[in-house]
Amino acid sequence: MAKNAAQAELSYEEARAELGEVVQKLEAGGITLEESLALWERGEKLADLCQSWLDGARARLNAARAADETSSSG
Amino acid sequence: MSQPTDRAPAGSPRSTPDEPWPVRVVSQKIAGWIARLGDVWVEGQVAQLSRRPGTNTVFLTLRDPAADISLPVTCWRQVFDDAQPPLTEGARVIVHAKPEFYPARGSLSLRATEFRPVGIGELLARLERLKAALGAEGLFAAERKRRLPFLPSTVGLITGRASAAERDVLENARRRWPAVQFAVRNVAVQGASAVPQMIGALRDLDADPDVDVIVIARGGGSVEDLLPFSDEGLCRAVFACRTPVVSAIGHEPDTPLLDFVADVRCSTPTDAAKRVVPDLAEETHRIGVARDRLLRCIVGRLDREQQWLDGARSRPVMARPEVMIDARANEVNGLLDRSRRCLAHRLDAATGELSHTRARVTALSPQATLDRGYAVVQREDGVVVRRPADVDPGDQVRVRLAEGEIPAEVGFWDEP
Repeated sequence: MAKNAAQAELSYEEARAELGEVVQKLEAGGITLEESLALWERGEKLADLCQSWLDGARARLNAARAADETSSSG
Repeated sequence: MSQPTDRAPAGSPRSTPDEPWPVRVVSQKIAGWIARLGDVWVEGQVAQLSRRPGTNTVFLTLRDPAADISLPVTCWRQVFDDAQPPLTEGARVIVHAKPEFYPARGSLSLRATEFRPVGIGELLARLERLKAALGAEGLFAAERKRRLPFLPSTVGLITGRASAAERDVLENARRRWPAVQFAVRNVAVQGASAVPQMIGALRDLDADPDVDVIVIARGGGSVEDLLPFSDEGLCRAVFACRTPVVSAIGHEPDTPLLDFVADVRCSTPTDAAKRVVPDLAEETHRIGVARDRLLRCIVGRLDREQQWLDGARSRPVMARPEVMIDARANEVNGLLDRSRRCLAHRLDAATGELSHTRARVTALSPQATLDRGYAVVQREDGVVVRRPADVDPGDQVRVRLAEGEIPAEVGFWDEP
């Protein structure tokens, strides 16, 4: 999947840092519309990537909690 | 001439195959040698006592407490009975004796003439000296102490059979950590065989790879009872162990040397049980606490990251990307507006100029003059006729009036 491929390329920290740079550039302005659009699209992709990292981490956390509760109750 | 057997010792200083010595002579010579040794003060431990009723002689074995070496001792019943306190197996004694050869059986024994118990004061002083010597040798050095394992796979236990110490260690350790495994070696914990048995058990347990810690346990006792636990041989055996050793000798107030050489000293067998295994309930609780902190850490981190990400996404540049298009659209509209207004302005100006010019043109035209009733006469070629000579009679001309024109012909003047 495309998302997985992107995840394999960038770590969460890398994606987060790049997203920060994109927002900064967009806010600073002084670039062409075409560049702005490309930056915005890149930013959306990076934000999705970050979110998928966080969602994945939460899912793992919840799975571990569930397993823990099962084992301690059983 | 005497008989050869009588003659030999007197006549020849050396025995030869041709002139061997009879047994009695050899025995007599040995007895003579031994008799010359004289009396001796010897200290040891009473190992075996044999008081046969009806005999006047008491037999006992005097044993070296640190080595597997012993000597038989005999004495008259009276000498034995005079000893204070009465001699028992395991007691430390000083014996005044004379080595004696018993020709009838060819055996050697010490003929005791006096027994003195080793005084407690003397014993303690000797222990102090031994303690100083072993300490100087480094047997008690703190840097040589080994750490106890957190959770031993098997605990070696050296203690008296069915003793309170054994029960205390086993019960308390199992209460704290139910799955604890023990390798118990029951040994004599006082008396002559205590030290060799304990050393044997210690080596045995030390050689067992499953045993991670060895406990030597005994309940309290008198100074003499606890002497085996100050034995030099035992101390050296403990020092030589690769496995950590815990001493658990109940004692008040004198400390056996084992406590100094052991890696960990405990005041009681119960205390030793606490030291060798962790408390299951407490450890479970600690793990729970650690797990909670771990979870809080990671959840907090995730929450912070999520906040950051939400913040980045809610920035206008990310949340409302149409803004950047709108801004440019506004720009374009503004320019269009300006250009239109500019053009309109120019058109207005041109229109004004035109009407002005038109007014001037109107003002300059002859129409007004014509309106007043004047007429303009033009030849066919368009030349305005200003004098009669400009035309000939019969020429066609045009008369331009205020409202139209009339074609006319130049007439002939009547000659006056």
